[in-house]
Amino acid sequence: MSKLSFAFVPLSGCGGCEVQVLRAFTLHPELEELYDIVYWPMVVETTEIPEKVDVVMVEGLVRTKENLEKLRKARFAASKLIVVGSCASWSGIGGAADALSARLSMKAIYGREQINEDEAPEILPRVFAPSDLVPVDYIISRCPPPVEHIVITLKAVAKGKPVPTATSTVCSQCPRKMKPIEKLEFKPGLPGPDADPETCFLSQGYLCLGSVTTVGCGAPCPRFGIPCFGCGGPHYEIAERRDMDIITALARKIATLAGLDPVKDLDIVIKKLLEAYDPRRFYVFTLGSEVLRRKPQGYAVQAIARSKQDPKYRKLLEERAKFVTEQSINRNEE
Amino acid sequence: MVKIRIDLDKCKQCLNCVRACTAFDGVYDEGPDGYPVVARPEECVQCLICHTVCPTNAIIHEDYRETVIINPDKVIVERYRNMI
Repeated sequence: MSKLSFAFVPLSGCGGCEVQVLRAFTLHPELEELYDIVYWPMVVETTEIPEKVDVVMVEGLVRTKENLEKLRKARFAASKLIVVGSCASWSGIGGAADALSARLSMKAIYGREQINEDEAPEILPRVFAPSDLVPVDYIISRCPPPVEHIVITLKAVAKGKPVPTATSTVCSQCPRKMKPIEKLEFKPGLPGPDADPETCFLSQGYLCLGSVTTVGCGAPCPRFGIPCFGCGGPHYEIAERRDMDIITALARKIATLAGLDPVKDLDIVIKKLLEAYDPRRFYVFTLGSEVLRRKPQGYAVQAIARSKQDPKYRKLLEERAKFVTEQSINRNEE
Repeated sequence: MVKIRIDLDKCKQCLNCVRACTAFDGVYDEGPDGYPVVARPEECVQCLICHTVCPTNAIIHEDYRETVIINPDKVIVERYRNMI
């Protein structure tokens, strides 16, 4: 069997997914018999993406114009495009950058609203997840993506078989016991040492996004006392259906656990949820995703608008900008 | 009639499906081992609220919402069938 060519295109990201893919190649040497690496800045010395590549993996967000051009090139070259990591699939942590004005942030860090093109690539007004901009074949979500998922996907693609998909949520792998909610009350913040280690966080009144997040991690966070933050992205039904958002789907489940009607009393639960938590808490890993921004209820857009108008963040950025003077920038350049 | 399956590997025994079922008598019942059982599948009206409230998507409706055309007029039936 001839080898397939493999390229890895890193965009604006932390590089964690690259390390995970490298680990997958190191821990499973049989992958090297299936794939021939032709472009990967961390591993091989090629500087340009070849014109035709069989499998291309993309990591990170589209933040600058250079990223956008790279992504276009990758899509044209690839016969199978796989996005790895939360950033590339659902905009991830980096998607929260949209909650602040890009120009203000630039001023606070570099002292200028725009950087010349010959110095650095131009920054786009908002961040994009690559899966929103170009059609992709497979999504390997999570932050960081598990090695097993990468290996299964790469092996299935090499053999031309369909890749198994996730249909359940994180709750199905969580060992905590779900109990009915006696009193509908939400405790803001993370659970402390007084939280019961064997009862579901939702039953105790803490916010956990496990019941709306795609399965695949083995629920390590709830096992060790941290509620799920939803790094795997929303469950496929929530992503597909227009009447479902992360908040509404979660509120329906909480309402039923509390013995309320999931349809009639939905507004009560949502109101209580939004009183206790900032709306950005529900979109920690999905704030920049176009899939959730286009939901008719528009909670993600509201969350962005609310924090953009928040004078607290604006004041912080303006105070930061005071310390960045022309002198300090010149000194750094020297 | 719709076939309802509960995936016991995924089920968390929260009994949300028993509480939320909109059918007159309720399709689900709590079983002796704590897992819900499909007691009255003939009551199911296929509203699928149990899918929405299940925290793990453990409930599967097999061949639900089959298109049933009850108009006896053959021409109209054919026309709608073509549209579908």
